[in-house]
Amino acid sequence: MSLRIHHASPLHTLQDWGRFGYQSLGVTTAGPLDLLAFCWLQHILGDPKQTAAIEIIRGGFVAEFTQAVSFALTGADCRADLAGRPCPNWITQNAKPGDLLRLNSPSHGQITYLSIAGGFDVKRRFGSVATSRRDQLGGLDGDGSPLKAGDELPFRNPHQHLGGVPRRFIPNYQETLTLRFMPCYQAEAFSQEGLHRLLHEAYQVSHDISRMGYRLQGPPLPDVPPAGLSEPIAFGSIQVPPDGQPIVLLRDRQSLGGYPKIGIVMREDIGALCQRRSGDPIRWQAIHRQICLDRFLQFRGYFGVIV
Amino acid sequence: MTASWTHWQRLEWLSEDTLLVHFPNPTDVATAAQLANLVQALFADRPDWLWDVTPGFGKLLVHYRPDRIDPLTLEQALSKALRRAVAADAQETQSVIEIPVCYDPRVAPDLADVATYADLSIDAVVALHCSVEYRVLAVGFALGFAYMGPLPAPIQLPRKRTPRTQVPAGSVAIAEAQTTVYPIDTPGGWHLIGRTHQPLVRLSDTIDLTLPLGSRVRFTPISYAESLTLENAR
Repeated sequence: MSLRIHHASPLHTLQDWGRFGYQSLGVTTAGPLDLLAFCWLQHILGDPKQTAAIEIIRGGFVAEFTQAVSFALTGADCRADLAGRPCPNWITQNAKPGDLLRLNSPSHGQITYLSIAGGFDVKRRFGSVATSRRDQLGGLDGDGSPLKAGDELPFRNPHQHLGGVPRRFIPNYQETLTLRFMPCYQAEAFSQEGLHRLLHEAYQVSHDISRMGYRLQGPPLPDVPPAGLSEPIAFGSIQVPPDGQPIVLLRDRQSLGGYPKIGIVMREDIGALCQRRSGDPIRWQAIHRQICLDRFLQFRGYFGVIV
Repeated sequence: MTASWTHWQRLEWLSEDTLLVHFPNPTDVATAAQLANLVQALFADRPDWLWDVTPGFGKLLVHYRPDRIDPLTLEQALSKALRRAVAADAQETQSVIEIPVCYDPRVAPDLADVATYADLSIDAVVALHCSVEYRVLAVGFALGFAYMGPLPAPIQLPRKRTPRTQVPAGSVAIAEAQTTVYPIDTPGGWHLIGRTHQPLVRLSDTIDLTLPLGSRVRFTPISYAESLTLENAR
């Protein structure tokens, strides 16, 4: 009655929508880096409620189904196979007892989500199973550890289900990404030249990327305002340390920080950024909050998600 | 403690579902206490439009559900919570939390450097650190990490140029106008001047912090021998 893990890396964790209500204590929310791929997964498995998925960063995951169940993979394509047969993403699959699911390294994108119809039965820690290594909360044992070989994820209500993502909605992680952002926080303290550079020069994803934040690399922004008193950091904030290289702060970000921030990335572009790899080109575009808000409400209306 | 403010300075709508509320006097102890009350007042009714709040140095980040509440109603709800917080503040009677600290050089790697920088004896630095009552002005960065202040002026110094890659949990540290205790092993750029055995976070069915926002704190020096005894008693 479980998914038995044969091989996993420290970048493979259980995630749900995230842990909310504790940021005033310094607790990070955790949660999925790519909300879109995560939501499609829940959607095609017929379970839009608060269930957990395995977040697999950079592939290399092997697990065995001990019971028949429908499952699905979304996000980066890891050329997976199930019992030796190709197993495409974005559409439900049926596993038989003893079937081995094998994910290779993705050729494009970084993050893959895996879950089953009926969800995994994992105990919540402070309202969530989301794994936060920083806070030592969540995950299978509740202590923030990533998944590892030998772990068994019990099924809650395993069943057969049929679903798939229409081809036109499947994202292409090879496209050059334009990160749309809402200027806010200390945006006005940056010089015109700084903003101009951000909007018109070519940036790329650096090697310094984690669930805490993605550092981008490009012409350094000039005249970075000095750090101030630590202030609350919203999901997707673009922090600019003194070296002028912007960092987009993600799910495992620190709750407070003093470096100046030039804005916040539009919600749907945050996940798209997380799917980009070191060296991938990035462009920036400023966008009005109302446009982002309309898209956000549309997204929520469609998926019926809570976060 | 008298109220530091009765209304916000401005509201800044940040991302799709966040609002940043700016208050005056960010480093005032009264502001910290009032923010703590405001967080309580907001969570008291568990409104369905509220996801989370993050207070920090005169600011409050409100993470809300734009499909459940419109901006005007949100402002009204904030106003109401704020009135409650200000009223609660007037009756505050909080006891002082004592943190026993061992300032022995064996657990205080930066104490000598701080003394040199401040042109004081090591004993004088310790005496100054223990001389005042602090307030937790903000909690964040990591779970249970309390920014306490204000630190006496003679021992204020900038953060370390190069942060340590690993600071042991329990380290008592200072930087700029603040002092803290590292709740977990983490990288950090503050100057380590002592160590406490006191746990800062207790996880059971609830998350209990030894040093919650707005609390009053005093450090008391203990010897290395005493600290070992207390450490073993844990």
